[in-house]
Amino acid sequence: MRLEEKLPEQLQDALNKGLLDRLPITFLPFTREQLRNWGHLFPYERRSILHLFLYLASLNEGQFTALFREVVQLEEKMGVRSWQFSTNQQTIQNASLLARSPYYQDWRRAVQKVFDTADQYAEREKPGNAGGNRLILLVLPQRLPLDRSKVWQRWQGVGRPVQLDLASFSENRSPAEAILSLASVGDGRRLMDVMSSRSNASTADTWILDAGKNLVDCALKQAPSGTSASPAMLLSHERLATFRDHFSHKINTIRKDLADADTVYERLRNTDVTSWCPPEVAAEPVIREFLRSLYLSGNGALIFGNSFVEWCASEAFRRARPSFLVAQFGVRSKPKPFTSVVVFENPDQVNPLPAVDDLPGSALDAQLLALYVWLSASRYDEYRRNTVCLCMAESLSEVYVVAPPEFALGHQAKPVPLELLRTTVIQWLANEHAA
Amino acid sequence: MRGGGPTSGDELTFLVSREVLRKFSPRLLVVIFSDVEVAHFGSYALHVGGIRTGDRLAFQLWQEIEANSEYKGKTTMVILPEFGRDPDGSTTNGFFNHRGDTESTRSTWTMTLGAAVDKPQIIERPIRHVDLCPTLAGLLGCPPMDSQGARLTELRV
Repeated sequence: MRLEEKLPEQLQDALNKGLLDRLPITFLPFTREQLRNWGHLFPYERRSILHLFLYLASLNEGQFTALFREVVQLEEKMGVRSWQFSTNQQTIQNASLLARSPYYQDWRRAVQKVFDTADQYAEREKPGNAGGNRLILLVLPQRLPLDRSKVWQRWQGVGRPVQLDLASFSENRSPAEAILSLASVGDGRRLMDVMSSRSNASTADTWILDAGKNLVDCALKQAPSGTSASPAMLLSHERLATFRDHFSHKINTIRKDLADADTVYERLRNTDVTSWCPPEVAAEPVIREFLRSLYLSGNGALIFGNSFVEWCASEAFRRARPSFLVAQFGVRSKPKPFTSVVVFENPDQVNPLPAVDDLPGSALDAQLLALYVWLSASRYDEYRRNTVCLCMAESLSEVYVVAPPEFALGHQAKPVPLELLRTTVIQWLANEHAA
Repeated sequence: MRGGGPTSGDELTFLVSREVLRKFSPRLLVVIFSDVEVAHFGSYALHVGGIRTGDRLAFQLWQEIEANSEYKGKTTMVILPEFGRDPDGSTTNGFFNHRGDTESTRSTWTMTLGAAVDKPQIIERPIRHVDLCPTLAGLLGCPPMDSQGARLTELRV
């Protein structure tokens, strides 16, 4: 996935026929950005934009007009032509103009309908690409204090808690690390080996997101020696501290107006960030650009490790539809007196008071955000079937299981040894042909 | 800071507001508490903490009014939470934001204390946001204004 990659021939043909000139104005910033950034798109995004353009190229004039009628009508009602609206890229100014329109929600629905229609066309043309079994592993680590009687209440019974038997688990690593690692006995396969042995395996099909760094460190140790390629999309909030400091510092220079915000954001879009990245991010342009875009989109990813993990996961589902995603939450500090989080200051640099962990607050954040990860996955068809979601509460030796009936551990009444959990999820992910 | 002074943005806002009341006794004072805005950065615990802080400081502000002879018995305090938040599972990332055109963002509450209230009561019927401006203007003695909203009859001085 390199920047210099050319557009696929079919897509280039469609563009040569002047398709871009016929698109509604509000479609242009997104599509032009996608085409310009083709080398930084995930396979799923590429397929999606290809489907859209191949579908559009297949339409006659009347069908084309009918498809976009609602969007065009809404653009007229919104008065888009009189706006200072960039047709070249998505800007804060654009987003602000759209969001302030009373027709914004209608416009979003109309745009989504166009993409859905294109996806349905693609499904008709090439059916049966279900993608096999999927696994989402959410980790509430040992340090987070949890209340057994309340911890799963927000899940409203979509799954059930299963006790873990950790009596024989005395290793110097966390249960989540053990699940990702080789077993002392067994067939010698690791979860990431299973993922990389799938047909059409892609790095973007496996994501490990960590508010700390132990899971990413664990995954890096599993990478084949002598290769710079990451075995998965690996993002650790802790390992990204340098990136965040540089990025936040630049964001902090924004004066209070949208035009200035766009200027600073444009600068950040074009800054070479490679030297700010840990090796696993620096080596992968697609994940580096994902990260840049994630930090530019806000939602607390620059501020709190748990928000970073949740928003990363949500964006990973939207943009890459991975088959295996691990999201480990962590501990944040208590806010220091007079340190405002909204100005992107690093409290440890501007305030001499020592940082103090907020364990109960972090636990509450993590519980809600773990649920949000599952909810953001379940927006998409791909995760409504063949998907197991496990939320592991390490301090309670308990895992909450949301799974289809054929996932055996979902019915367990007895405590489940960690090794059984590990081998069961390996077997689950090994099935790459589930319909 | 270490001597029991303000420790969050809202505590400082409260401290300044109290000094303004004591020193200048303005007829109109607008106080905006914003610790709750941390929701946009994804900490539910700190967001809830911000709600509790705002709740406590609003009460302390009322106590200050009741203890100040310039204000006691002739002051109305109106508490206006701006809006609700997006629901869990929304495409706008749940409690982080308030962008959805949904009941959960549109529904909120308001509370009025003091001179404009005849008797303790709860108004159950939905009140529109646009009704608040003419109501507050009326309480300040402004002449009727050209407005989409209507004055609430339950509040008058």
